[in-house]
Amino acid sequence: MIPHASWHVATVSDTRQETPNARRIVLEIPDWPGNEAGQHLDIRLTAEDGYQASRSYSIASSGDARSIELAVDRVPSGEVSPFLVDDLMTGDALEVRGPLGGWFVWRPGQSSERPVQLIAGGSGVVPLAAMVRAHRASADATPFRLLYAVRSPDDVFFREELARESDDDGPGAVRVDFVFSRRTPEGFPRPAGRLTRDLLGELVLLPERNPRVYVCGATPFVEQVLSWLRELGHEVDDVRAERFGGS
Amino acid sequence: MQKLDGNVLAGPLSQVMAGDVTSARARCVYCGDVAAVARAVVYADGVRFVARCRRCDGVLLTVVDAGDDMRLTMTGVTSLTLPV
Repeated sequence: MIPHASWHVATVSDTRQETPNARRIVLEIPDWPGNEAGQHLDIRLTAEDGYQASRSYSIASSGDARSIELAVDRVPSGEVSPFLVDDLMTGDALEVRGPLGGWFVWRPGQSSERPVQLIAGGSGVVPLAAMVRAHRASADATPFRLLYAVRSPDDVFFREELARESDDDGPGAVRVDFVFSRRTPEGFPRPAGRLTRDLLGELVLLPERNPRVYVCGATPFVEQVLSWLRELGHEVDDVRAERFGGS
Repeated sequence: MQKLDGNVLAGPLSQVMAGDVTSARARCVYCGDVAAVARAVVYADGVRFVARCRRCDGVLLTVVDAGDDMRLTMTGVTSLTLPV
């Protein structure tokens, strides 16, 4: 049973640059009931004149802690993200509602019969990173694979956490595959280019392995991936997707 | 409004429903499709949310989450089954 979501006052305890365009934000929430990997929260900002804007952000951490992590990408025309990325300071208070969503979640110990395939577009990696971290923290035996489509090496979120998986030769490590659309690191095996159906087929678990698939990214990315997965023979009605827009 | 999906309804609907609404299965009045609310197509701007059936595009429900008040209409849902 998921704890009932409610509004909380969160205090920013730490921030750091995640990429040139994104920021990691650590929030302390004294009455936070804990959250599962993949859940999100709503952040509500109130201007001095009373105008309110709220947006959903995925949580990059999971577990019982009263301290949670977000990683927010700046959408230049957005109402909320430029403030979170550029102006928010340690010690600031924010109104947050959560934890939210029990469908787009991965639970350790659920079942290791079906391998897990994660597919991220850009900052859509945030809830999937929470799953990768939960998988490692719980030493869960489920085979995990992450396909991460991102512009360039500079735009990669959770660099350390993902390198830890790539550097681990053990059977429990998550296999991470990158598709860089604009620029690759030196010596990368494929030239820069957008994800294609053929590449998707090459880099995700085969339909025969009956993977549990999670896709997260901007709406056009998610819809393109779902249509390719269908063409590649995956049971798309079983895929769990989460879309976001520019905010 | 932005095109999203039913995951974004979790926050606004937590004001009126206990349990996780994104896992709830909704039946569409127009075409009979039954799917998790998370799979609905949702147009949203942070205050207004219009959820449409993933199959027939019929309007399942609308939410206005405006600070002190929240209004929910469910004209396109014949049944909602929530895990408890």
